[in-house]
Amino acid sequence: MNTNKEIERIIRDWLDDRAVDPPHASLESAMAQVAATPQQRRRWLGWWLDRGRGATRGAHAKGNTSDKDSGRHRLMFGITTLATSAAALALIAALVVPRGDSGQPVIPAAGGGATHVVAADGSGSFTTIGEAVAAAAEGDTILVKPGQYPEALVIDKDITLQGDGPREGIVFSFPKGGPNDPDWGLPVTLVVKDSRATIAGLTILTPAKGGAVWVSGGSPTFEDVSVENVPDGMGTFNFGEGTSAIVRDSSWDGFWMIDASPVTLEGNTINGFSRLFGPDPATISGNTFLAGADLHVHGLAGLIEGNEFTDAGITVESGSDSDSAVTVRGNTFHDVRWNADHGQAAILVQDAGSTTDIVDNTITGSDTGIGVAFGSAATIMGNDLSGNRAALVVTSSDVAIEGNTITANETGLRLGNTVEMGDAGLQAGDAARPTVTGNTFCDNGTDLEVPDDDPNPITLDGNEVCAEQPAG
Amino acid sequence: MDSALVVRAQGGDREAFSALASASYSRLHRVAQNILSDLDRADDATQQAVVSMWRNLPRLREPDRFEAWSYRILVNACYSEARRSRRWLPGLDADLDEDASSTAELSGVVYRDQLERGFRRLPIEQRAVVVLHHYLDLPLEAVAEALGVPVGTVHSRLHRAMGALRAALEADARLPDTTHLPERVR
Repeated sequence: MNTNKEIERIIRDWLDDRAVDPPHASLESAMAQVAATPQQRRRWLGWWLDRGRGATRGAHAKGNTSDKDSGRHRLMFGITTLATSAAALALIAALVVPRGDSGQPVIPAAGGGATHVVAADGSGSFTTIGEAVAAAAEGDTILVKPGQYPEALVIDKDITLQGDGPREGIVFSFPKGGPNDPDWGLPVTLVVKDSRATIAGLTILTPAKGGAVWVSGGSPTFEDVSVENVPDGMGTFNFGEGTSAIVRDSSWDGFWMIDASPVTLEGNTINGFSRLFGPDPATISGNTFLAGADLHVHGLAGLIEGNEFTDAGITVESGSDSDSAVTVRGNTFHDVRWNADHGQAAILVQDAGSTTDIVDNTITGSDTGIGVAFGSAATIMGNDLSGNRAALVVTSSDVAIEGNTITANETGLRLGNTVEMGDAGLQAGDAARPTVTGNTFCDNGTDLEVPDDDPNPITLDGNEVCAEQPAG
Repeated sequence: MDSALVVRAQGGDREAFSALASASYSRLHRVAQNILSDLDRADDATQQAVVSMWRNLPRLREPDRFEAWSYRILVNACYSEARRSRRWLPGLDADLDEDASSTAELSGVVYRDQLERGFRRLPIEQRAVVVLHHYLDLPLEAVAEALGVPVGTVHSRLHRAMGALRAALEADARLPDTTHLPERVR
């Protein structure tokens, strides 16, 4: 028998030998990220930057026009007006139609503000959105006609930016060679700051190694917006801490992140991996998550309801010190296959500090239906799981499994027997002590699989089992 | 650690921070390697930690405690990296190479192999305690400060970890008297 000192010596030597010098590029990469990161950056940016290495800093152009530009525009408008045969009519109109900051005639908006028309072909009051934003006052509406708008835009006032035509024909993109946003240190097509703006009916393109829509502060609303990613784009929607987010009836490609509260996502089509941070309420309902568009929620309290997931799943990971609670209800999942990105299960709860309610969901054709692991607590009730490889896999103790219909899966309920790859090795199956009551297990390859020599019996009560395995 | 550098970096001096980071990067990276048992993941965690340090440096109230503070940020980055990258697979057996242990000779290879297996099975919180205490030689009080947990918690984690590693080393009675072995077991 070795003494403790000998054991410690062996371990110390082993640890010394085990670590090697870091790759030289590692420090360079870290410092490049530091160079692109302001101090006291909002908490999610570091991770964001970590995903999109190679960001650089640079000068900034808001995309809004200067007073000098506006003056030039006024002059051009004057010449044009006087040159027409309708000069007299224009003069009359000028007397009766209200003018915006640019001196252009504007149409009163329904909400009481003025309306400015932007048309890339010159048929409106402005040819760029930036000019119109600069001219607009709080409460004004900017109508954007179909066309291409290569601009880096900052909206820092409460206005409505509304596409006037099919959204796919109104394309707003980062200008070639445009400067980085000074706050983010990256190219960003649309920055919204401390604004309650409404942005609707547009297509926004993500620049390479940059973001499409980044929001800091305020509570903007996005409706019927399409955000399209480009190769090497770093992401689409990004709402920073201290904002609230409403996104409805929109679609987007690419990675997105929301660190806002409250969050409302309704009726969107989502084609990109996401992370949502809490802790305040979120409502995520009626959305369609396409293949690979996994939803990771961290420390979030909220409701995820009535969404459809195709080969995409939900991971709830609130952190063991969090009291946030998530309800996952009435969602449909199908064909959720394991992959290196989302791995896991259609619904995976891990490291969750509060009980996650998983209720009335339908999960079919997936590698794993519902997984609860790493000490998390969950109530799994009224779900319909069929045709999956493993319907339920549970390694946590504080789990109630009640009134579910579990049919035609390779395995109905498996307790333990998981592998945490590359981390802690085999998880002890006998750690799980769920309560399993009132479920229906039928036609599964294995209905209930529990440790053979379980010293602490699992509560099995009132379950209906159609196969051979007995249940309580 | 040069506190003046820390103060300058807190004020937004990137060069000062660069000097701080360069001086400690290799050590931090090695700590991350040992905690995560994976070079690539250690790379990600260390970079994440450095960016996090830069972002949060103004919140460090006592510049003299930069080193302990940096370990806390690094360990948290390792925790995040471990959570992010771990793969949770149902119904699979542990991917252990049993043949290696059954045929290996009594040598340093056995120790490394057994230690590696035992260490990888430890919860990451216990691994962090082992690394900070036995690799960095931090006293338990400093480990507690770095991890933001009570000293008693550090004691209990270390006790459990060392028990598990001892068991791994002594598995199948493969660990006889080590006095005949070289000083550094390889």
